[in-house]
Amino acid sequence: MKESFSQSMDWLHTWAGLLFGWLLFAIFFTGTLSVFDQEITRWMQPELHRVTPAPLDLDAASRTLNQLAPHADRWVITLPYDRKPVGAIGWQHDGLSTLKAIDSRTGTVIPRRETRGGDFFFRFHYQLLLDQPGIWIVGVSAMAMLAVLVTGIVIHHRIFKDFFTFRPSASFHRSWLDAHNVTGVLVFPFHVMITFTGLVIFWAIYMPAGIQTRYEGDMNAFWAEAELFFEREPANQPAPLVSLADLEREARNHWKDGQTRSIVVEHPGDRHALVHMYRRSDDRLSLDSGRVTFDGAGGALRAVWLNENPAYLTQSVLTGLHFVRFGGSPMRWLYFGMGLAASAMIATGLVLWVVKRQGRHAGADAVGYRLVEGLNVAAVAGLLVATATFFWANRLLLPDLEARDLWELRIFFAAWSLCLGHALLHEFLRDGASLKIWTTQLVLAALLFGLLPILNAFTTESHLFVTLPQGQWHLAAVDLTTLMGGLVLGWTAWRLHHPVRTSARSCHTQPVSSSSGSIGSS
Amino acid sequence: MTSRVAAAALGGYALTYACTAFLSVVLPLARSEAVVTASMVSFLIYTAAILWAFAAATPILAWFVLLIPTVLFGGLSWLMS
Amino acid sequence: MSLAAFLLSYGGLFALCLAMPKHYRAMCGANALPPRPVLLMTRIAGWLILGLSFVASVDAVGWAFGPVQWVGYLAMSGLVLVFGLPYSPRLVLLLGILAFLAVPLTIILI
Repeated sequence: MKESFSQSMDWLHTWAGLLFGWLLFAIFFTGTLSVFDQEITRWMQPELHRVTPAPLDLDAASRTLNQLAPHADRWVITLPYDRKPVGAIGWQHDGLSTLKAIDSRTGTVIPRRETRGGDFFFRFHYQLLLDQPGIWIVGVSAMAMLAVLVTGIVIHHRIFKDFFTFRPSASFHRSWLDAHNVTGVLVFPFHVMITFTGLVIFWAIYMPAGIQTRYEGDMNAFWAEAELFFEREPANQPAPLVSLADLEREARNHWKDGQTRSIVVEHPGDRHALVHMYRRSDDRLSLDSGRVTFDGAGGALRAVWLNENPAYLTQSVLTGLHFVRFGGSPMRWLYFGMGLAASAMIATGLVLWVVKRQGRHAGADAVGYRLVEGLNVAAVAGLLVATATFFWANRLLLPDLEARDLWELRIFFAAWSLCLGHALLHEFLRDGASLKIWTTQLVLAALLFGLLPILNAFTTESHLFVTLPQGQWHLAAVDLTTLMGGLVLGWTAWRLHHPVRTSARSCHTQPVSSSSGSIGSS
Repeated sequence: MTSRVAAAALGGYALTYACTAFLSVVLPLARSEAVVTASMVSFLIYTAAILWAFAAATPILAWFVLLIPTVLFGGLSWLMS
Repeated sequence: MSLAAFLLSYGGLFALCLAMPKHYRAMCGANALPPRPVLLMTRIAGWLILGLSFVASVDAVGWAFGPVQWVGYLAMSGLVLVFGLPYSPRLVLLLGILAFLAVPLTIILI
């Protein structure tokens, strides 16, 4: 009875872990990068590096919007702050969105290369660039992650006895298992928190039962009640927009010591125009800390929402825990580190599936095994290569190329597909030389990441020799992190190629016969 | 195992849906607050349901224990709303 | 105080690690092993230090961010400890002692 229980847990952990592991690695890795989405975007827009930060003149921004998009359905103004020193204006018209960087004092548009920047990783992280279906796929993966996490604690029951144990010089299987357990257990609270909060963000999509029973499925009725959200159709009568600067000053009275994050104007220039001001929330856990709504024509106060209902606030705090807009750079680095540990846990889990079955497969069985091996390499090392390629594409594509941001994406996915093709071809034609594919792709990723600061030095004026002396840490950190990433990946590839043999020095290692001779030969 | 996977994915979701609907109706809170509370709890219920589907002694038992409360809570929330 | 919280989180995990015979041997030599009560005391001390690190973290950044920061610190110092141990157990030992020495300094100086 007990035997079948643990077998059942093992089965769930193994197969859900494997089937969702490939996707989960991509979700966790791009999520880890999204912690620094603003910094990556900033790094990817070198045209804006020379702009001196200044408070945004909202009326100037509004004038520019009025010139560029007088008939838009919606305007968005994002105010500059320390992570994003250049303000931005955007508008939506017939479902198409446009985003421009503007000079804070004059409101004039600053030309810059088109790029998705860190936003690409962010969007990939939660919807795989597939909109609603993508959100569902990510949600199903997250549920699988929760189940795999809990079963992991059940089946790896030795983890507490082996706490603090990592044996790189033990057998191949043992050391991968150690690495998997260590990254799983030490960072366990983070894994559970980030997965659960990720699901809570999209509760209304994943679990619409409450909305169905209490609101007859009317989402907008819910928002109107929970967030005092207020919207209306345009009157189709022109009316001038009041001064946004005046409204912003009034809004600021409602958030104690807070700053305005962004302003949304619905139906600008219409008599029914609405102005929503959103409070920045980097001083608290909760992601949504307030919104004030005004009439666009006339400026009358329509709604003040400060997110004070306990349950809704809890949801917002959980969401905020996921987004980590609070706590500044130190907190983001902690999340970045834990996110990398989570990605490493998933990657080592995938490798373990293969290592456990090494040498057990022949003939027809081997096809599935090879397929898994190949997919593992492409999902882990291939994604790293593609990510590095995305950074290279940002520097190498001509700044004024037509649909430039799309080309960056195409290059990313082309690089990833090539890695997949390379891995599968080698698996099936070269009779499973998996170690070689791993090292090849890891070395490639290491080179691309490691050499990125040098490419940056040749293609921009904001490379390490400039950013370090000037103390521009937000920019320098990107170069330094990719450099570090390159070194770590290079070291990993080297270690895979030259595995350590059992050394007498590490006496906590169990005497296990070294199987390093048979690594990779399946 | 196929039956357990189906019980976990479909049975688990049905149970979670019914529980969330039921909680949204019975929680003594403002309407929007009850819905949000129930929805946040739902992911914990779903996780527990998935684990149950694999922990139960037999797949039949797994299905039974998932479906009975589904029908019960689903029916109750339908009657009460 | 955030730095103190980080150092204490490392110190606490280090003490817990030291209280396990196989890790003790790795850090302090193959044969030496203190009597069981000493190991038990070290283990209790480890948990207490982790508790202190939680208090320090909350004291530094408040009840909202403190617990989150603490979990992050635990994870990071745990990873340093675990991945340092097989490669250079002496360094892990040295870092542990330095962490304890540095805690009073951070409280006085910062």
